[in-house]
Amino acid sequence: MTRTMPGAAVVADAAAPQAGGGRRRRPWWRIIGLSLGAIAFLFPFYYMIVGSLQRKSDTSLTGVLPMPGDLSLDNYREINAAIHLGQSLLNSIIFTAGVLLGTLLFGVLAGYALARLRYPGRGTLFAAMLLLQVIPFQLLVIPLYVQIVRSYGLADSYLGMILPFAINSVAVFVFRQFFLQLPNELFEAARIDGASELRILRSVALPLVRPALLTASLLTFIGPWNEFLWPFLVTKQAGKQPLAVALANYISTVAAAATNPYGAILAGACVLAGPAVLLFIAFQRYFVSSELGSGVKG
Amino acid sequence: MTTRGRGRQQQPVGLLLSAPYAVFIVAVFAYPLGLAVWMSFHKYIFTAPGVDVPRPFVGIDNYTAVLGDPAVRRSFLNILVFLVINVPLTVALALLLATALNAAIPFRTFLRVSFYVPYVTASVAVVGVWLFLFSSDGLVNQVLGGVAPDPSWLINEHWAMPSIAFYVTWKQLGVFILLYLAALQNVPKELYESAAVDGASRWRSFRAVTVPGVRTATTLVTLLAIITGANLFTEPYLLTNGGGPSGRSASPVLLMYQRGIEQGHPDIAAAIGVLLVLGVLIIAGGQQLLERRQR
Amino acid sequence: MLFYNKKIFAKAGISSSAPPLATYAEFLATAQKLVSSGAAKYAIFPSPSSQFFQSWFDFYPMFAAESGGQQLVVDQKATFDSDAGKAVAALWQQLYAQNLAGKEAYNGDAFADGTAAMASVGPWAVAEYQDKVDWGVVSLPTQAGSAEDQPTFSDAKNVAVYTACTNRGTAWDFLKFSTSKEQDGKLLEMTGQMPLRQNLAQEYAAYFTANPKYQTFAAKSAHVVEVPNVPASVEVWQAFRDAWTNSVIFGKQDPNQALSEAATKINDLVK
Repeated sequence: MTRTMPGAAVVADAAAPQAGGGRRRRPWWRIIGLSLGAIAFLFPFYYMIVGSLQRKSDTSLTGVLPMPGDLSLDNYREINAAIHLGQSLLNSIIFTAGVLLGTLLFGVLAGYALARLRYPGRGTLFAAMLLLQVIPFQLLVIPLYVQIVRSYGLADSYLGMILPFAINSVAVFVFRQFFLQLPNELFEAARIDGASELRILRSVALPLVRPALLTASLLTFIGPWNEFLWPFLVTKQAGKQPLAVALANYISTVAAAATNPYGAILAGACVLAGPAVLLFIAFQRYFVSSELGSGVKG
Repeated sequence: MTTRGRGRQQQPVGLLLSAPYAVFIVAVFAYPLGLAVWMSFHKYIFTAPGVDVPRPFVGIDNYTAVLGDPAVRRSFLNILVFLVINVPLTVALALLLATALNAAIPFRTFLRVSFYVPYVTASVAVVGVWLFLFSSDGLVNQVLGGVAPDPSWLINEHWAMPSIAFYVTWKQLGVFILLYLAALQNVPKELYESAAVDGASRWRSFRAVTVPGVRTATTLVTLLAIITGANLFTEPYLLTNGGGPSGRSASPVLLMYQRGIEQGHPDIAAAIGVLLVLGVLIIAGGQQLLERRQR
Repeated sequence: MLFYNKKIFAKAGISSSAPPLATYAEFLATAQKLVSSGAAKYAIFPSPSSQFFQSWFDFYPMFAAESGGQQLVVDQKATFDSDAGKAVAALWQQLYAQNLAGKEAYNGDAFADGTAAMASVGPWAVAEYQDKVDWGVVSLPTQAGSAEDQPTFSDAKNVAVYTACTNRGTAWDFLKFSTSKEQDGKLLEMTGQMPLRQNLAQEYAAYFTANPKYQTFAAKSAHVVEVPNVPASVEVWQAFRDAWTNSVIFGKQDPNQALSEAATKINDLVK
């Protein structure tokens, strides 16, 4: 139990800009270390962007620096002509949005139930959830295909694409962890007040769940966005294929015919990575400390 | 006021809330999983609908065949090598970086994004860059000069799997930093204040406040890293041409793909898969026990 | 067939109209000169990947030429641990040991990029490298010296009807239609791929007069050999490829020994 010291809280706020307390010296080495790390992490991505803008592929060392005369959007035009980036992006968005919807809607409920409620079968469900994460997709892919395409008849449909990913088990795990970490007092107080479980869920748990929603969204987003194998198996019409599949098809078939094959591939990959990066930039803003303890002080 | 919970009371509404998830699991995964396990105990081939072939029960024949295959044993060993390098490195780096990125430093957004970017880019495109860096005359070897390993990283028996481990660490770090960032928001500021008041150095407060504070996140990160590592397929396939030198970078899932999908022996592949799942459960279970004992 | 990059050859000081590539000795010497002169990074760069089908593009064409058209497995016995197979393996082992061929994965097409001076290709290469490489074509080398009519690997794409097919009559009619002279002619015109027919050059004389670059391939199509039609063929090729990568590419084992072991294993598989 933390001791609530009002005075300390004020001091903490004032000293907030520097984690670890009101120290005067700024750790310059920390920023240097981070920047070096960031450069190491970003370098391949930078190389990808430069490569996608180059007219001719240059695999030597000098190719790392962008030459102004060499840059153009040709590669983007080329790959757009081959795989209609717009339609593929739309399919990716629909696929991913479906998965996000399923996960955020039903995953939160399941996570809350697993964390805060007792009922028969809870342990089994939790074990099943863990087991599901462990199993490699390649073990299941063919029977899954038979089931969804033959038995359920969902070939060439968005539902068929979404179904195996509909509720992301890692997200459920994250929701469960999140609800477990909330202070017990919040729920005890509401129960003592005689609120029904559903009421508690709606008025106590859900208003606080936003940080977990953001984390879970970022986690869940990447799976379907970059997923190649499953949509590839399920869709035969090129018009229904998400961008990851179109890009993979492009790489293995048409790319060699392009003027700068590797550049065109990188262009496609940059387009594929773009929305995910933007989403992260938008959401990570919310990862700053919130005063969770305030729930009990009131 | 005591906070002893009413532990014995049941809340059956939980059944209602978890029902969609439970139905999802059963409707989508129960049949494939059941079939996969069933396949591993029978002689099984895939056929067109309507074609009838005998599928006799063969007991543990598939398992003995798999365990007797040196390529399969090698692949499990490779994954162990991978996990030993990747998991501790991932956990340590992710926590350290998340802690550093949690502070209000200049360019925080840019720095956070830069660590996340490898995670969101498709492996298929990024691998090309990695090849550029680590091929025999790539950037890394040019910088290292005489110290560079010969033969070069990805075609070197001893360095192939570690190279893949570094690649995957680099690529996955973003999501683990994210998980830790989220967890760090829940560590009360007052604890840091108390530590500072007590005169603890930054490192002490990291060890005494941060590490225990994000314990559940550490469990999650470790488990996810183990699972992702055990199920490695794309990276060995793309970076080291499949099996790598002397099969030193083959992974069990790669072999499952070869035996099951390419060579038409889904029964053997299923046996490998079941063994892999068992192995991961054992490792994860062991890790959980260790953690519990430390508390 | 063997494509070579005329510009790179010229840069290395090798004749680009009559390059010395007929015997193994000449081929090796040319390869050494190409790389040591700095004209190209590699002499030839087939994919070193361990997928089961990769041997179709480095080993098999040369084996077909050297062995006079033998398939990998004949009468349920492996044929490649013969003198012919061993000679091919020995040549490639030299190429890899001297770094004249690349051992790492390459992103892209090494021949198109100018990273490799030569490539083993099919008729698809004519359109593929049209604007990218100034190419010349010769037959693959053999120990004694290549000949115009030596066999090579066809990499044919064939069709079959499954026994589970319920409309076999229709399927058969369709197969006859799609491999008729007229349809084969359309395939040739649209893709430049050689249909599997006898007397190809005479049957479609008009096309080959208009597209002389394909004439060598037309002549060659009379001398092709395919992969053996055996059960467990994927496993057979995987076993061969594993032995090949281990011994020839990475030099971990003596190729002769690796080939014998692979032959024993494969004989077991096709029994």
